[in-house]
Amino acid sequence: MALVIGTVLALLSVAVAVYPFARRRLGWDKPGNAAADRAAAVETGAGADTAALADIYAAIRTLQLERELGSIPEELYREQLEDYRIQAALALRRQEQAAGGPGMGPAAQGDEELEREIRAARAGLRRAEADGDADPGREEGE
Amino acid sequence: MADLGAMALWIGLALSGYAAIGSVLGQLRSAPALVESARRSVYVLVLAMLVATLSLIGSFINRDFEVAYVAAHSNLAMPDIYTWVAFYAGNEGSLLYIAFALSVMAAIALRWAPASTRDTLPYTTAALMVIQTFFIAVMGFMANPFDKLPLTPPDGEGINPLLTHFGMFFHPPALMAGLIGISLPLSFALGALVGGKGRDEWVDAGRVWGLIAWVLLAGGLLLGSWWAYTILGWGGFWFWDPVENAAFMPWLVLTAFVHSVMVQKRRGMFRMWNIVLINVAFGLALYGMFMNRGGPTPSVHSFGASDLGWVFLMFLAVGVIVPFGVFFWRYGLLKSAQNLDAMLSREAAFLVNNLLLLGIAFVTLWGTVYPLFVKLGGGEEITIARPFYDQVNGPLLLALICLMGVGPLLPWRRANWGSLRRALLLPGSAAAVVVILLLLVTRSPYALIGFGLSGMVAAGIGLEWWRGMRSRHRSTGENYPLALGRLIAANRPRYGGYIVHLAVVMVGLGVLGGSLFEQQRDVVLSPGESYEIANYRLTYMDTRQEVFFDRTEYLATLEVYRDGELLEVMTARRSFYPSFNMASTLAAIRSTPVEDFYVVPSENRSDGAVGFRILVNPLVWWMWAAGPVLIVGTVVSLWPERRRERAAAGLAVRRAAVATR
Repeated sequence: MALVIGTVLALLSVAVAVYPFARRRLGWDKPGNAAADRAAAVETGAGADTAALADIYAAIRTLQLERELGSIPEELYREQLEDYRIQAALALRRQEQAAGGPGMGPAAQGDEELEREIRAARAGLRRAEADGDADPGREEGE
Repeated sequence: MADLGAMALWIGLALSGYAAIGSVLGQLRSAPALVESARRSVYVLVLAMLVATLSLIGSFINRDFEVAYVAAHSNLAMPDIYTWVAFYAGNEGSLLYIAFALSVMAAIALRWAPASTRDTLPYTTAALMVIQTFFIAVMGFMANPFDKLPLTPPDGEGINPLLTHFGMFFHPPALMAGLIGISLPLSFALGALVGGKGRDEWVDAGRVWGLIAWVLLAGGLLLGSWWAYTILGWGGFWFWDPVENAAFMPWLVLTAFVHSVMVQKRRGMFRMWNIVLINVAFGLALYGMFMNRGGPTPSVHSFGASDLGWVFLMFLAVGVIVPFGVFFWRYGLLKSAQNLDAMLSREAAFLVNNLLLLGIAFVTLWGTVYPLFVKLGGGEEITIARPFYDQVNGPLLLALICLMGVGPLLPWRRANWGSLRRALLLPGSAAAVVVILLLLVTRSPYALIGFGLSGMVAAGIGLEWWRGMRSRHRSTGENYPLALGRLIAANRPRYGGYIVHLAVVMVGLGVLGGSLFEQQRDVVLSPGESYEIANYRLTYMDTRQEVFFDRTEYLATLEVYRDGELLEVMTARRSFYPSFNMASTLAAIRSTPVEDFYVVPSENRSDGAVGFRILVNPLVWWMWAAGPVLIVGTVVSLWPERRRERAAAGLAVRRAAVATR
């Protein structure tokens, strides 16, 4: 009995190890699999950016919680929130480029455009601070 | 059964070796079929290890004394319930348990690895499978649990009496799984580095598996302390025994890691530091295994005489040199994305916390290895005992508790003194109240500082919860319990961490109370005699003797009174096992959140008198109550976000980013 079960286990192990080769060699591989592999490769890059976005969101959420709890002064809150927004814009742009979305285009042109956006955002922040205005992104961003 | 187990072991060895080599070759030669084949082998490996494990358990259930391991760790008198304990009671079985646990964790980790690790997963697979191959090979060639005896004995030697305790069902498996579980964050880190990904790709997987290993070790250590407290008969829960320390040290370093990995996840900082921490934790875990299996120090916790010491010493050397070699090789990839903005920040608090934890780990390591160095140098045999650890680790632990109170009140990146003062006002006041109240009963500086800081931490956490709940209640209109529940659900790592911190405070209360205010007496009482301690009166009634196949039990009946009122009739047990020439005890404990009344028989005299050790241990109950709280906190921290929450998070970030554009 032990021999039978042991043999079955050994055969199963060999079968599982051989299966990926057989699938490719014997044409069991579905035609879409190569495309699926490529999609998975793209997804790996996109997945990293999605994770980065999730981390930025978590950071913003924590920052807002810290503000509500009164453990961070208002000026530091605004400064950090703006930083995270810029990081989010960068990550989002990367994700869009990876997905071939609206941000897609010559890389250099994209970077330049993004830099312009960041410079504009910073200038806006400085203006808002100088005017003693309320947090400019708060109404539309939250 | 044993033949099947042995076959499964060899099949497992082939599978793990193949998975280790195949995954690297497949990656280097860009052969996805080979990589996939190697990964799938890891899944079948779980089945092979399960068959081997079940075969050994089956051999125990059948009392197949032809199998040397079964004959050495069970007998006909052993109740079936202890089969699980007997399975890992010796070197061979515990190695099989470790191999099984590693195979399960590796398969889960690889199957559900984050997308960010996909490129380097073959190297992670290889690292895990090299470790797995080592354990199976040691079993196959040196400590095979399925080896047979030339002659089948009529009965076995029996299970070690000290293991016949409820805590033993979980303490060794949790510790062993925790120690080997450190392989997972290490392998994700190694895989990422070898694959040239030196940023934060491995951090999510590293954090999750680091926390799992951490909670397993923490649970194992607590259960081990409880076991020592109830069965070893000396009334304490921690002896600073070298083998106890061997499990404590990786836990300390892992505690540092689970904190600092959050900084890497949040800020892209401490990249080198985290690799160093996980390498050190793994090295200490291997050191623990070496100490347990033929290391130079005998202990109640080790597997006795074993000739595996040199094998584990070599593995320890390889396990330190290779990860640090990879670290230095890829050093250039590990530059942090950000710098420390300010010393008054959450990140800086994490850094100080890490240094304190490493300091305690180093002191413990020094206390553990110094006697060995003295012995190797030809000096006299010495033992480093509790006073050394109390003197050196005590202040460091108090500083750590202090930081646990301050750190969570600091925001990320930068704080200012004004906001910190405001945040500390109420927790500091709570600490002051505790100290003033305590001054009525003690002048011990350790007690005043320790309980004061514990009060500060608990008050700080309570205040954070209250403020968060109130803020959510005001902004959403949710009732308070719902607001609290949703606050926790929306910030799981943070609030899970707070729950764990509360558990640590509870452990701290037990340690402080039990160490500083313990009252202990050793007395001999004849039947009918009483003894008074604190405000208790203990009356020894009688002892009845029960003879079993493998042991003789002496059961002492005791009545406990307070203020003249009978509180409880307790039974303390002392057993003698002739085949082991060993006595074991089971203390009678009346445990309440205020204090434990603890009685253990130390000797039974021929005239009917019994020697008792009586202790009143304040607050020890809190240590054991901390266990479930610790687990709940870790589960909250680890609980994954639901798809809907992830989608909402994505939307929120988009909106935040659009606000910037």
